[in-house]
Amino acid sequence: MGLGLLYDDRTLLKRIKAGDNAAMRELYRRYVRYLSAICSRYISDDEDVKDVLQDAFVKIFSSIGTFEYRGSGSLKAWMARITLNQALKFLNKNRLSGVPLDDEFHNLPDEDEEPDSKKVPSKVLFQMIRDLPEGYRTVFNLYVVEGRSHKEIAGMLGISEATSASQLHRAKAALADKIRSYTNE
Amino acid sequence: MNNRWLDDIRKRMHAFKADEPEGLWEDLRGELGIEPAAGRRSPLLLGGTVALAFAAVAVAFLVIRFTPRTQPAESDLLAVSTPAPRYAETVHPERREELASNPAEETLHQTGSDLPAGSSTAAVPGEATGFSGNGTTAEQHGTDELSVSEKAAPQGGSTGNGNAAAAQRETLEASGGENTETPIETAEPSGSENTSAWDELLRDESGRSKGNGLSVNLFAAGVTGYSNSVRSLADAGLEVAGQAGAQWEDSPLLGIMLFNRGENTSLRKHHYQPFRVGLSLSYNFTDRLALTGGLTYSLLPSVFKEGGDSHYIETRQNLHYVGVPLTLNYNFYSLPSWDFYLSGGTLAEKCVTGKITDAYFIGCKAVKEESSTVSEKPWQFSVNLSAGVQYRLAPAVRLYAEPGLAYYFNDGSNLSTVYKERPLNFDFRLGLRFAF
Repeated sequence: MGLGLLYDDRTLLKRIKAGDNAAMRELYRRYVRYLSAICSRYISDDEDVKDVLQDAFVKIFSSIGTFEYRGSGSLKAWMARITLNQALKFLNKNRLSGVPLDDEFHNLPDEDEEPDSKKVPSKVLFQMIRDLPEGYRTVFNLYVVEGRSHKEIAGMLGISEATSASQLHRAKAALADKIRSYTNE
Repeated sequence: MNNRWLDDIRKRMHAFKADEPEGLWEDLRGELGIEPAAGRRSPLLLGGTVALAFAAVAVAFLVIRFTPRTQPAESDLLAVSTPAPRYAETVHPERREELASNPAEETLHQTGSDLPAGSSTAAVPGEATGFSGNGTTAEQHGTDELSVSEKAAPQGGSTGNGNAAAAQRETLEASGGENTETPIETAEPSGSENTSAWDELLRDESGRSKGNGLSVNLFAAGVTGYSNSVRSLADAGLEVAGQAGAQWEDSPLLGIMLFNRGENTSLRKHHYQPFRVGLSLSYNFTDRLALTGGLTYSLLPSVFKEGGDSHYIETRQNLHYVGVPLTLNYNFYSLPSWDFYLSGGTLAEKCVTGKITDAYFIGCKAVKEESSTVSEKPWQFSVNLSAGVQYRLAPAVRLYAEPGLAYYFNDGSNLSTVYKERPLNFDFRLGLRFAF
């Protein structure tokens, strides 16, 4: 039987570099939902998500000629980085309209028992993260999902490390509450 | 509180996909200057033309092949059909040039200026981060980013993914105002336990890439035919000989038996090459591994001739099968226009209908013909292994050929088929593949 090896990332990349527009469309189709998820975890407004994604794809397609394929997943990771950068850029530009990041560290009670996130569908978890206040959400995503350190986050967002830690603490507490509420329903 | 739930969230969010924003591609196409091709022949249209040409060859082949002959021919492969143009765009040349020459719209420093007071050194890692991860800086905003990305590769390890992850971290440090010579910082407790999410992302992808594209495959296939002859001395007619004198014209079978009495008779079987066409869908699990499933239609024509040279029964049997193929394909080598792969899989076919026509010949003259429908409709299972090669005819169209071997299991029926006569058979597929 036939097979779908037409468009593995490597050959897709070659075709895009050769000016194959159908390959561009395929690259978009293949990763738009993944990149949309990244963007949406940082940005709550759907129209903003669309704008940022559009900017990200423009940047991807305009600079893909210089991308060097480094193995399976490298193209996707590269696209994800660009998208994340675009999302952070958007957040930084629109900081004034968002929830300000305060520098104070508020000690919140630490629950002994961790929430049972496994009982929550991914889509619900995703929405719970989206519903967090912007500051919480951004730091939570960078620290927990992207694996950034507070030092890195501080540098990326222009805040202090203490603020990053504070936001993370609050985000975790808020998200844990949401998960517990959901699982106790 | 433990962090297992956070690990769970991290893994699930990495795998999560959200809905595509409505109208994004259209907006993007407009911004990139990608317009539907005008005055240029669409690759898929070209593919369709090629497909039609193959279809014509296939029809000619069928006409030639299924004209009865005494000797079976070797396996052939048929061609394919069906144009399927979907889209064909072309980037506006000027726009592409512009984009290529000016990939960065904003520099790191410009971005930094957009930030609130006190955050100028933080800036947005933005482009420097995004494009330096692969060691080749796509957006060379400044020497800082470039030098960091160049140094990041060896520190990140020898693999490409490692380089990308290391470069990412390094560049982020640089964008945060750190000295480019600063060693890579390990993540804080949670981060160090979980390792970098970028590392994780790359690791996830090294094993499999999700959501890769589908392609549609139209193909035709053939396996070798089969022919044999079993000779015997006719004596079955003896018992009816006494009745034959007056009644055989009403019973051609009786006449044939009568006239062949004492003669050498034979049963000659000729199975033509089965002809198969199909439509399948392929899904890439990774860059190299793909799973294919679909639907096939097979025609198994056979002719049996039983009796003597002049008095005999000629039976034509046509069996129609509908099958479901399932194949795993592994692409082991690629060139710019060629892909080479191995595939192995199964084919489950069900005989959906069949017709048997008996023609009675006495003195080489047809005296009666009668048809009936095949009552047995068995399942036919087979396994196959083949090597494949595909050639790029157009950006979204591939011509492929897959020679291989197929083993057909006994279907347990009384039907005489080529599969039963020759379970291990040469198999050849030729097709067109359309990606979308």
